[in-house]
Amino acid sequence: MMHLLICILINYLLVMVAMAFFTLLERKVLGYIQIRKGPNKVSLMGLPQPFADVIKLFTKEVSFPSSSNLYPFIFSPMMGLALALLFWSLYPYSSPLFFPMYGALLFLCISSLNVYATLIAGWASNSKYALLGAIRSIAQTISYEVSMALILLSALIILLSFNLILMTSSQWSSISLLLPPLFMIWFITTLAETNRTPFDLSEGESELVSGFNVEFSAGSFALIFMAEYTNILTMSLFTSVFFFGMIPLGIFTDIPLVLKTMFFAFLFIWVRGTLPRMRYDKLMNLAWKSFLPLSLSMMILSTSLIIII
Amino acid sequence: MTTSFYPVILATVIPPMVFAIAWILSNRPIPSMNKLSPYECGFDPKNNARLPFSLRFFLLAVLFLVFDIEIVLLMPIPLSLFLNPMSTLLETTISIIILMLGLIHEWNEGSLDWSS
Amino acid sequence: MPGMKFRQDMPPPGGYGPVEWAQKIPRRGLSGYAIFGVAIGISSTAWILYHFERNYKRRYELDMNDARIALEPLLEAERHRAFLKQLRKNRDEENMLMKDVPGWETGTLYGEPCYHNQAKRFPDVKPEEYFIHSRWADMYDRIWERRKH
Repeated sequence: MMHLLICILINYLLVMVAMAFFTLLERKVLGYIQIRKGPNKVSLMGLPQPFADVIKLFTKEVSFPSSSNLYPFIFSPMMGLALALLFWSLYPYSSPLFFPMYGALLFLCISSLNVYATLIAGWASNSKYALLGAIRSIAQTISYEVSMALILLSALIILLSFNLILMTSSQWSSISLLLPPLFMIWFITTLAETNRTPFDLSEGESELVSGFNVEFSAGSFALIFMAEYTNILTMSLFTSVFFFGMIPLGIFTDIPLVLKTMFFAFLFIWVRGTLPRMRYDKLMNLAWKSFLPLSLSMMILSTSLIIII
Repeated sequence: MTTSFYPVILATVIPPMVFAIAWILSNRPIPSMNKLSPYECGFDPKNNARLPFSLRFFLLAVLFLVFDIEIVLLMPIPLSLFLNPMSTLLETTISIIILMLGLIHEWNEGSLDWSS
Repeated sequence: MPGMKFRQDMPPPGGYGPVEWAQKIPRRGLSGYAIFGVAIGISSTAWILYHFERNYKRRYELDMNDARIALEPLLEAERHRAFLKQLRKNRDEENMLMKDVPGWETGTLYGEPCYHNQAKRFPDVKPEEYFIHSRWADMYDRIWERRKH
């Protein structure tokens, strides 16, 4: 049983390393989008920059505000990172550790649990900005979760299974080609789910300073940050699993999956570098008045198309 | 006990370890009153931050609950499509029409309008 | 650091290139209708291909189902055999454990039968009782394994 634990540990550690370099990629790409160089000073072309960041964050003072509730305050960042790591036990590469029958359901469960980490963080820090940011980000995540579940369900209707391993090992046709609008809504929804840029209302700098993580510093902030970026990688992974079929390449079958994941992770950064922030009422209207009716009708469409074809 | 809990166990063990490392390495200056008070742009925080309660956000959460429960009811569709396609299509259509009617009712009532 | 030499960031030799300030109007590609048509064409082709894939998958699933049906009697027999073997192991173990107790009859509690009665001839054994003679941790592992199926 020890070897299994070690395998999972390696899986999680590599995810954390990937997340670290993803932050570097984001800084670099944002730099080039704004016609400047990103971090390029730390040793070799700035490559170990994330490790320098981690060391800096870990050696700073961990401050616990006097009015905060201490235990939830410590607990919530850890919970965020734990949930973000738990996604990766589902990682459906060609030699997986587990063969979960209902991996897509587990994905939905964990992604809805992510709300609680934000909720506890915002409530426990007992600061007005933190509370407002947390409430905003929860309302946003919750509203988009409804349409996310419906979109995922219509994709699963076409895939006819909840099994992620089956999807990556035997699904040749890709849903992004079968129903392109579905894929577009899904991508926008993942942007909103991870609180990324056109929808990063939880940390609107002009009104809320930094949202639900104002009070967090050093180690706790590092944990929140890691959870956020791991979630982005997770979302891009599941986008490529659900919406892009596999390409049979023998032992290299995993490589297209990884490349697609990297492309979507890059797309998240690209969107951040390009689009301005949305207004909050428009965000809510987009979720409830366009995405929800559209995803409901998409579900009927995919069910009937499956039966006709 | 069983191997399917191993990822959960490891995922709950790693973040506290990371936090413990941060806690051990962290700098510990003398705490000051200003540093320990909650952040509030230049003000002294006078009253409790948990007082404001927005009914709008609460209503939104209730709406979410209603829709999410109905999504849970729709979950087994992909599995039942192989077994009996026609009845699944019928059930899906009926339940989605009910959902849609609920949505239209909410829309009509104005509980989806954010700024009024 | 002593070993490192300070190097000031300077512009490249010859200076930077001229700043591009003129407006760049991108080349017009396909019109909206054309893009729409291409998208519809691609997705209808994809649906036709999906049709073939699904038929293949359905045949495969049918094949697997037939194989499972063919295997089922064998698996059932093996399951019964394992069950009876475990019962025999339990009986032997009890015989060995209780050989010093005078008047102990295996399968009964001081003469009263508890695994075999008149109304319901062979009641189902609880899993905790079925694996009673194994180690505590192993017992719960085995119960878990049984519940998965």
